[in-house]
Amino acid sequence: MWLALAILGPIEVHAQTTPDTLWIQLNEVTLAGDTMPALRFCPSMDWDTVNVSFYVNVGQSYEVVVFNGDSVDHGFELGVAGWSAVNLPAGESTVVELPELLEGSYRYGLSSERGRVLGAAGVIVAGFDALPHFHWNLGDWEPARMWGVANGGAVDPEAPYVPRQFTVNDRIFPNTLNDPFGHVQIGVGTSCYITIANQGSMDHVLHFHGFHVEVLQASQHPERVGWTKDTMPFLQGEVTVVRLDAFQAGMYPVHNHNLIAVTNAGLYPGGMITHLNIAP
Amino acid sequence: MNMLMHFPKCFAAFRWVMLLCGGLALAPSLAMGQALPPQLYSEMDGIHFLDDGSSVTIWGYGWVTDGFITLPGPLLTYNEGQSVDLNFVNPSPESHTIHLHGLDVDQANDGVPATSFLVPTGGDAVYSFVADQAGTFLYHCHVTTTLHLTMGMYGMILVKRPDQTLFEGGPAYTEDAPFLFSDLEVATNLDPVGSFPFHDIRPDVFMINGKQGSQLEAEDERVWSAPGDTVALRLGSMAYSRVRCHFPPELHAVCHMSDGRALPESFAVDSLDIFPGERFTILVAPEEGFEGAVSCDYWNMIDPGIEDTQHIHFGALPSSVQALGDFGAACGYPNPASRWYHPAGAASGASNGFEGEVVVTDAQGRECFRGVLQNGRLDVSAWPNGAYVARCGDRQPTRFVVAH
Repeated sequence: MWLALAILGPIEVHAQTTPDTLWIQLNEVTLAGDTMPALRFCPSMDWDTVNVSFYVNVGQSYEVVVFNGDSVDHGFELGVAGWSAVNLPAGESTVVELPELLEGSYRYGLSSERGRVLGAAGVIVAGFDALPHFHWNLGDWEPARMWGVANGGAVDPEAPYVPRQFTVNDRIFPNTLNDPFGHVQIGVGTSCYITIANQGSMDHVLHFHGFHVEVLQASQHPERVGWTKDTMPFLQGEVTVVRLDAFQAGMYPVHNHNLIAVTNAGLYPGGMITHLNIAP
Repeated sequence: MNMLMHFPKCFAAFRWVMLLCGGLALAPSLAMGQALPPQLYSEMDGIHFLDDGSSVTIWGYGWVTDGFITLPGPLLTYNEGQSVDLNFVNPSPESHTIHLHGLDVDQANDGVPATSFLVPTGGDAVYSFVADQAGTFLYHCHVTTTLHLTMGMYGMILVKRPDQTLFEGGPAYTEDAPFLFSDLEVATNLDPVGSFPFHDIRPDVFMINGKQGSQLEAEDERVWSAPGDTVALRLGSMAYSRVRCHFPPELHAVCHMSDGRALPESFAVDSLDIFPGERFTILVAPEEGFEGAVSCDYWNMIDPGIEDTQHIHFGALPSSVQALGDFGAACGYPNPASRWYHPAGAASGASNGFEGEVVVTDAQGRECFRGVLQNGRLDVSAWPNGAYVARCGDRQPTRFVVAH
């Protein structure tokens, strides 16, 4: 099974590819000069700085093997009502049964503080496959806090949070434009879905230039389904799906409007910015 | 989009001339006495007074004809369907832009330096777009946005319908009450060069329309309503904070729009979160005699907790003022006004076809002006802040605000 997964390679946009094994790996990432420890759900034994997000069919259950390559036990959590975290012993493989999912996008990750702070989290998309589907996992990172947790410490709840890096799919701008899963590139007159998951330790808010989008799902703002917005919040852990109808061509930024988050280690522009690239 | 480079680098002298001449130096083709089209300009040496009497430096926008910048920038008001050429000139020491937040303009007019264009020192530009959706929008500089916003380079845009309804098929209302939430960090405004790194910016002044605390209790800052009035609260945020508004039940607040779009279903609202960049339109119908406030909590987005609370105060107008007229579509311009007000609706100085006597009364019904307009406009620069009613012959009376 692991061998089969090892040759799958990166998950393609709206490819409906479901991995049969996820590898939790501990390593380091460097963003704009800040090196920090990181936990990732990788698609193979090889270290990958980007968490896997993947697509499943609606109403179909799956078995996924999760190998915990970290030195401590973790719990696999899934943003589905009634779901109980599955224990993942350190250094072992565990079979996780994913339930039959309704159409929607769901956050998965690790339930421990260590898992959250070090960034092991992705999304599972069920359905929403009639159009190209992109996804944005939003992250915020304070290296000092991450090093403390990686070295066995706990987050001091009294300490102010001072994130220095802000990411979309574990990338900072302008590297976000090299992301085939996040950099929206479609033609004028066409449409796409975008899943947006806040995997960070604070709330975020994104503003779309050039377009309004229709909210199809907002896990913590259900009253907003059906709204048409250009700026929308994403609470911690929230997963949102929007539909973009590309009525005009051009290059349009999408960025965090809490403007500390459009920086890389304090430098503007950077961080949580990507583009909508609408071809004529 | 049309960017022209008209001006020499010696903009210090140019600025002096510009301000001295009320902007006529910007348009040499216009004869003296001929009114200019409205034109925004930017500056980086404004002074903004806080509630405690201290002041901070601001960067911002103002009307060329006013000759000063404000925080927030001037309210821009357009009619639904209007083709707009927004004129902008930048005599300030750094490049700036105008991003038309939420208006879904094309890339060329989007105001993002990397994908659109910069307006450098001494340059000017025209941002062209069609205001095809009624609603509440924002504008702000998109150059080094983290810094330029906290320094004050933002304002609100209203796109209105002539029938005084919120949107096609939507509810009618009596008047608009625009409120823009924002915040700033005093240390940054006092020393913008030393503000790096930007991710450390933590606001410590929290404002509504640039005001705070007791400043918001002033009569001219309140929402005044007469029995039967329905007021459209145009709420938008340029803050770094999440703003949670609490609406007293006596307001009967109903949310109808967000981000310049009608909601599928309006809903009664007692509290509402407004995140940075969001806008909401809330209709309130204050109960007769209601004098209270919408409290607005500013939540830290990073370490959640309430940093401050500001208030939108309401006051009750005597019913005699309501009887002054059935206020239909407001056509005057600009509203609020600080120097010139065009009661008949022509921003360019023409009288919009109206040549008769104009009568203006204040909120207490006292006559403030009676006469024929000169160049289609009233000089309100010396008028007290407050709400006024203008009657132009048989036309529907319109309500406007003077705010300095």
